[in-house]
Amino acid sequence: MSRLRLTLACDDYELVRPLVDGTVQPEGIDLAMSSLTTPERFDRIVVKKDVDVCELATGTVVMAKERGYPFTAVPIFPHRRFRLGFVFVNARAGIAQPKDLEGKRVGMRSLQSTAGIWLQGMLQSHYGVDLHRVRWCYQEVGGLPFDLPATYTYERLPLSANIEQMLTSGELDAVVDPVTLSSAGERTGPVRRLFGDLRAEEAAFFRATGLFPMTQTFVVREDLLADEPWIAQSLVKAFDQAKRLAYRRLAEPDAIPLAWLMWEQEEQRRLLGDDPYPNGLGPANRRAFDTLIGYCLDLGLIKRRLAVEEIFAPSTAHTLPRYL
Amino acid sequence: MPLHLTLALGDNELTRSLADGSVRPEGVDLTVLCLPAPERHWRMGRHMEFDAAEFSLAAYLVAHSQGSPLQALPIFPLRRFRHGFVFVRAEAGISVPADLNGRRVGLRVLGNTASLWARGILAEHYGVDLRSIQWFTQDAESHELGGPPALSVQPLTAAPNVDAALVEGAIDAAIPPTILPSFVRGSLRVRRLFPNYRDDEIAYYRSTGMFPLMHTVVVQRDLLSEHPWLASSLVAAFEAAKGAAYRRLENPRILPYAWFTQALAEQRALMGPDPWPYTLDANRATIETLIRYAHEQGLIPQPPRPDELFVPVA
Repeated sequence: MSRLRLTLACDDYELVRPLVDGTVQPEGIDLAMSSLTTPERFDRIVVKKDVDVCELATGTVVMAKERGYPFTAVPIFPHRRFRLGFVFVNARAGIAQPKDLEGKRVGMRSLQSTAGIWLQGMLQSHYGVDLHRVRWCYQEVGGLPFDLPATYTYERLPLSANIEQMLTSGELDAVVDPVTLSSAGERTGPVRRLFGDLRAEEAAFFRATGLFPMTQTFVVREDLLADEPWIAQSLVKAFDQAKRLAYRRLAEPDAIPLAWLMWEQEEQRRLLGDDPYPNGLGPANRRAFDTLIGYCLDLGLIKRRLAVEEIFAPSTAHTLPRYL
Repeated sequence: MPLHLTLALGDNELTRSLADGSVRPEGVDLTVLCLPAPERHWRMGRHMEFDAAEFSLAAYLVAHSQGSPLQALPIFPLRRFRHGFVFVRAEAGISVPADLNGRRVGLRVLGNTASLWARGILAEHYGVDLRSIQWFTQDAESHELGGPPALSVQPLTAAPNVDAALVEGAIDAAIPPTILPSFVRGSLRVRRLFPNYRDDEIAYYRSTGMFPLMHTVVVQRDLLSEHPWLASSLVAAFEAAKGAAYRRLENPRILPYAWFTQALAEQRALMGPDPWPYTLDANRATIETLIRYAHEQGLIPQPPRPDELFVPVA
């Protein structure tokens, strides 16, 4: 029996590991796994075409699909983050609540980071921040071509600027960054998180919105999917199987060096249920992804409101029928 | 030519680099078998099937007291707090630990490290009188216990396992090594003795400084005497594997938990950067406590000195 040989690039996830170590094999596919960093993956699947399937950030996928890049997404979501812990403020800037960001100078490294897109959208739709009244101080536009919308206030910072230092010195009032600023851990310094009790805040956000934002998804080369449309479901099923095996392994609290892993799991299950990382395009995922598309539109990152079906392989739009 | 050894390990992130071959002990060609705990301890304890194995610390104390040809290295790949593993029958009227006195309590075996710690902690810190309790064991001991009987123990016959026995009311409490299946299924008939076990475990750690040791690594003694370099080589490899595991966990994407990075940061704030130290000195007080519990509870006739138990490693 011959299998289709595909190269897949993604980060290191427990939920994916059974595919990496060969415990799970996708139907009809012989996967060669490679780990590449994010910008490299994009280049390899779009330009060099020597990667067939890869993980990309969800925001990047929405923007790239609107711009006609030659890949199609499959609804596999190996990572999600609430991200509310990634808004940092200078304690002297007078920002006690999200609304106080209005009128302030807020630093961002890139205008296209998926963490930033989700956070800006959440601040606007859940916390009532008028993003048009914030002065966005960015270092780079991001990887894809993008016309800055005139309705927002932007200020370009040099690439050499250090936004963490600027926050510490008070040149910036706040920073939205996908990486935790080390100065936020210093008790005596001026940098704080906007949301102090993160677990409580993020749990309240989930209870109110039902959203556990997906930050990553997978894309397949469009030409490949046109020839072999079955690949999409084969991948979704295999990633789902790998995920179930990973859940089972992690249910054994000895596997990971965290003293309170069991407690962490029990708390998470109480809030997010048995499968906090669902794949496929069921109602919850569809609504969450549609929310992201809406945020991209609001921020001017896309000009047209795409339908979820335009982004994902058509064969994955419905759950598969099966006998009782 | 490298020395060829078989090593039995659990499925544990701290030792995974040894299992997948990305870390190799100097001078050793390892064949690693990943086996679940009771099977691994049974096969090593009863049949000496492997050259080296991750092994129950309580079983090792018992084996050592009986002149076993196994010798431990100061490697401790598994530690767990035990408060979260004490389950009681919801209707039994047990609300505080001392309510266990005079009751029927189920165990997998008497000689496992998990229940040895749990009994010791309940007696020392929570006013539980172990001698007042009728203990029921579900399985055969991995090792015949050697001390004079200190507790009243009998085989569990009323039900096939402690989980069923607790649900059916044949016992009032259970202290299993892993979480009870009926509790996971959400049974209303069982609950935890310490519902806020994380808080209780943190308080216990703050007051005693102890993060209970569960497993060590044992090697056939003749191998160690024949190859004096072997102990250091293995300890260095386990240390390197642990370092690789800690580095992997720096990646916030690895584990499917929304608050994983907070959990890791909280653990570090409380327990420092390496809560799994692999030296005898860093673990001496904890080992002495476990030896005391094993002696008090009749698992071993005489308490050994910690230095007799572990190969000295430079």
